[in-house]
Amino acid sequence: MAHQEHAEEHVHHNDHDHDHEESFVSKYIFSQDHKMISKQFLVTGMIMAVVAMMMSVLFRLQLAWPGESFKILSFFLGDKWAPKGVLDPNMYMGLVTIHGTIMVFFVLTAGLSGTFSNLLIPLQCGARDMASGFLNMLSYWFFFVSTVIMVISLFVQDGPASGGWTIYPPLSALPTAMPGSGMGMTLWLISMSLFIVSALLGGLNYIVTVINLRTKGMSMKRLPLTIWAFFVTAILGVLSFPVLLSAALLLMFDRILGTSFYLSDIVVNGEIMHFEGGSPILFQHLFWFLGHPEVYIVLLPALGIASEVISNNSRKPIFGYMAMVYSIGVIGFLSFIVWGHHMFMTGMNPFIGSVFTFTTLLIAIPSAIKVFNYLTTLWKGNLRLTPAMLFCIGLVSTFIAGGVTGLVLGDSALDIPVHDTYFVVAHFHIVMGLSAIFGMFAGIYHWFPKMYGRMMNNKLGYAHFWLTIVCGYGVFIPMHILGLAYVPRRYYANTEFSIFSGELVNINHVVTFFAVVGAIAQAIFIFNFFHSIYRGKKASQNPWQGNTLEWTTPVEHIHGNWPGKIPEVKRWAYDYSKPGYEEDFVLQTVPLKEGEQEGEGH
Amino acid sequence: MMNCLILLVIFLAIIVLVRLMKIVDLAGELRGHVEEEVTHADNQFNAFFFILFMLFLFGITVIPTYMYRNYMMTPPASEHGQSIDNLMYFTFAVIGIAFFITQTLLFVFAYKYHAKKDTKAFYYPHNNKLELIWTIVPSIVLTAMIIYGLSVWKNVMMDAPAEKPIVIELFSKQFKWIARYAGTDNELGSFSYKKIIGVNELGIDSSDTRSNDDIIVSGEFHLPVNRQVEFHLRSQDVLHGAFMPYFRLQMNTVPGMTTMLKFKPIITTNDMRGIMKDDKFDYLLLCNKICGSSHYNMQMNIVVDTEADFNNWIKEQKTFKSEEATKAEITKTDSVKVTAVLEAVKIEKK
Ligand code: HEM
Ligand SMILES: [Cu+2]
Ligand SMILES: [Cu+2]
Repeated sequence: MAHQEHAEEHVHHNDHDHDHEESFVSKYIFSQDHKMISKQFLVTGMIMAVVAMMMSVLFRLQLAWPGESFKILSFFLGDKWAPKGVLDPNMYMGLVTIHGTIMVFFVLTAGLSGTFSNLLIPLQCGARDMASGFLNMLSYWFFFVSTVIMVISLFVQDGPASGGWTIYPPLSALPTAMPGSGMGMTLWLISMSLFIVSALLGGLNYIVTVINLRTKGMSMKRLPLTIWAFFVTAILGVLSFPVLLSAALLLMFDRILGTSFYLSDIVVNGEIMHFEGGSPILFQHLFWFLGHPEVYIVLLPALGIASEVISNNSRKPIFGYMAMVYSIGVIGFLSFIVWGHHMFMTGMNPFIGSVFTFTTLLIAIPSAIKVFNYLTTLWKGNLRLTPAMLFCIGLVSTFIAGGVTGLVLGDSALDIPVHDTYFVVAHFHIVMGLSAIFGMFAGIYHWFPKMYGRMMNNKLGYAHFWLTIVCGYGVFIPMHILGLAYVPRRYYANTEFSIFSGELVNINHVVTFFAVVGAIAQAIFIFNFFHSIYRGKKASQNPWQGNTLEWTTPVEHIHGNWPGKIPEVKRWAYDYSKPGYEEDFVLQTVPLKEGEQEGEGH
Repeated sequence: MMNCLILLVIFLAIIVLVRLMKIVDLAGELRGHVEEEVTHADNQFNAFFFILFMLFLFGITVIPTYMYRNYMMTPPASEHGQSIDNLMYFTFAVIGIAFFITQTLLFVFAYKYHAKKDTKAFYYPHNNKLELIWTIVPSIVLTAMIIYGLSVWKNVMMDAPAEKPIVIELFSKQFKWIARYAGTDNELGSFSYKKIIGVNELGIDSSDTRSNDDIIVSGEFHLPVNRQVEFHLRSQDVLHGAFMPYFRLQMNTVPGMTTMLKFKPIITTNDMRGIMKDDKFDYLLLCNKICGSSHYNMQMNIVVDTEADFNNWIKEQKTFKSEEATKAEITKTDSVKVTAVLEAVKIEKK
């Protein structure tokens, strides 16, 4: 509360002539305003997404036409990494690794959580800003530096880290085992360590803000589901990212100081190493203790955004608000005790494997509840098919398609034949690469007017959506077939084996075709985004007729969000089409009528 | 750099596009046309597309699956393989039903309830009974899946086989597999990574008499059909993954640790060639854990023989002891030669 008063004072204290006239640096660069920081996260995330997407196109070319020469490859990678236009195997793995790292961490963690937690937590909770604007600024700049280091790592002599985004030692620990484990790996570790600092600073801020800075009347039960999702996401991050940091530190010790945390009994290139007594499996436990919650860190914000956007555009309350809140909580909790499902094939005790199978399949229950609740929200709605709404419907579809195959991979017995095959690649791309990304797109289309005061172009949005979902499924559904034909992932070429060549190669052609078209389709979005920032139609204060507090702020961004007092909250966030009201929405600030039931009560 | 220049050009192209769009916009404004956020036509058009899209989605799931049915889940060639495949079919039946029902509902709702003129949404915030149903039904289905799945898992990974297995070590290193048979005593000789020098690729302790009859082969290894096999998996350098998809077998190899796998092949290579209608077919041992630049090509052939063929084959292989003797012989003569040459050089220099 202290902070709010302070912020309020701040607004009044601005001396008159300097009002709103901050210097360029403090306004656009070292800004401490959550709205500006959110845009910084978004634009940085988008740039990284473009980089990672281009990488995927490059290695998809190699997978579809292995060993063939492509001008575009030698163009981007030079003669060293693509001699005569043929991708070098080490660079193939470097590209896959950095593609995965960027997508998971920079795009879907920082770009998604960073953007929308920053934008919406203060606006929807009714706070003047984050609990600590300064730490918030630091969070962005740590993230920024980490992306810069990751990009630099692409240009070092021996190439970027290339042991996969999971960087399992000993491969990642021994520079003699592969070129990418040299300087590239060091930079990867430094970059990720900074990234973790950024995630922690951000996460702590989000948690404190949600707990302490809610406006009067905003009880936890009145929070929009977006905030619930960001809140639980932040808790997951704060509990699990430190474990990744320790995993990375120990790996650095092994690399630099010659300790043996992860290494034992190793001979590389005829050299007998001194390492003794460590275990590579320890790293995997530490990594996946973050790694599994991480996939929910990626997904929950997208689901939160979907809850909000679907309810708003169905003009109906979200069905089963409390069930949605509990589902988020249960998913968050369970996500900490399932990490072993990534390690069934490591020689882990089969009994422990059974326990992880059990907990993993349990997660399907709250996930199923969420899907059914989305469906029921659509049922008998009055759907406005805005681009944001289309992406949310797409999100539900891909969440189902990716979720069901999780039941295959989570079942230890079934994981035996499909572990580390393209089945896995198909599964996690549909969940993360489609569902979570769709959530991000939906968020951008929906809150663009709040961010930039203008509307994005709908027609371009529609073209973007339809091309993206068709190409997205076109890329990842056929990959299941490769997986069930047992084609291993992370192979530079599948043609070394007759069992994987033949007809199956056609699938790779189809996949690459859709990947290229899908990548080009993203240009529509990028164009729409940047064009609308400057030229979009001016937005009204509440363009989607939403109930939540962000739509009570003025279109022009001001410090402290609301010009006068912070509005008080009088009801839950989902009174859409409520009987007894003229309009089909009721702002959260409107008092309850006499005898009116709130929330789920009828 | 050249490439950065090109990126710059692309960037400029975008700016040009933005300018163009501005002109189009201005033209629109001149015509004085004001848009609603979402027009009725937009809703209709997108709603209709959802139905089309649903057909596309079902098409792209069903048609290629049908076209490639012979490539997926090829006939299991091990005793436990069939039980894994049955579990897979069961699971796919369950998730397939869930997939088609929920996707259909989703897209049909998206179509049916799109906003039309004068429609209003139905205020329906919750219903405990419905929510209870869709908590309980998935729970029951999942319980069945868990119980069935874990019983297969236990059977494959934990239950001790009835008969005594043939013990074979599979050794991995960048980028090669080596197999070692435990020999007539069916016991592997001990090893130490510190002994991995020159010809002793597996670091075997030659003072351990159990190693005398061990047989080391690379390139290809043979198994007798219908005999229980136990693999001991080791790695010299980084993680590798022993993957034998046709036997539905997979296990990582971990430096500093021995992992295990057991199974029983039930179809000989020859018979499998008939089943696959491919007379070049071979069972393979692949590497399925990223391990370096040639990871994609780290393989070894597996030949499943009849008992008699297997016995003939194994008789022809050299044991560790005899091989060591010949190798030692070679290195001895080599070193004699080398010292002779060195001496000669010395003398010349003088
Ligand atoms: C243009 C769309 C995309 C295509 C064509 C694509 C394709 C691929 C392919 C072929 C792989 C290599 C699989 C392997 O060999 O193991 C891969 C890896 C990966 N992708 Fe994507 N991807 C795309 C978008 C995304 C997105 C949006 C995400 C965000 C989550 C993502 C996350 C990953 C991850 C985490 C990996 C694993 C990297 C590793 O194994 O180290 N991808 N992608
Ligand atoms: Cu997981
Ligand atoms: Cu390998």
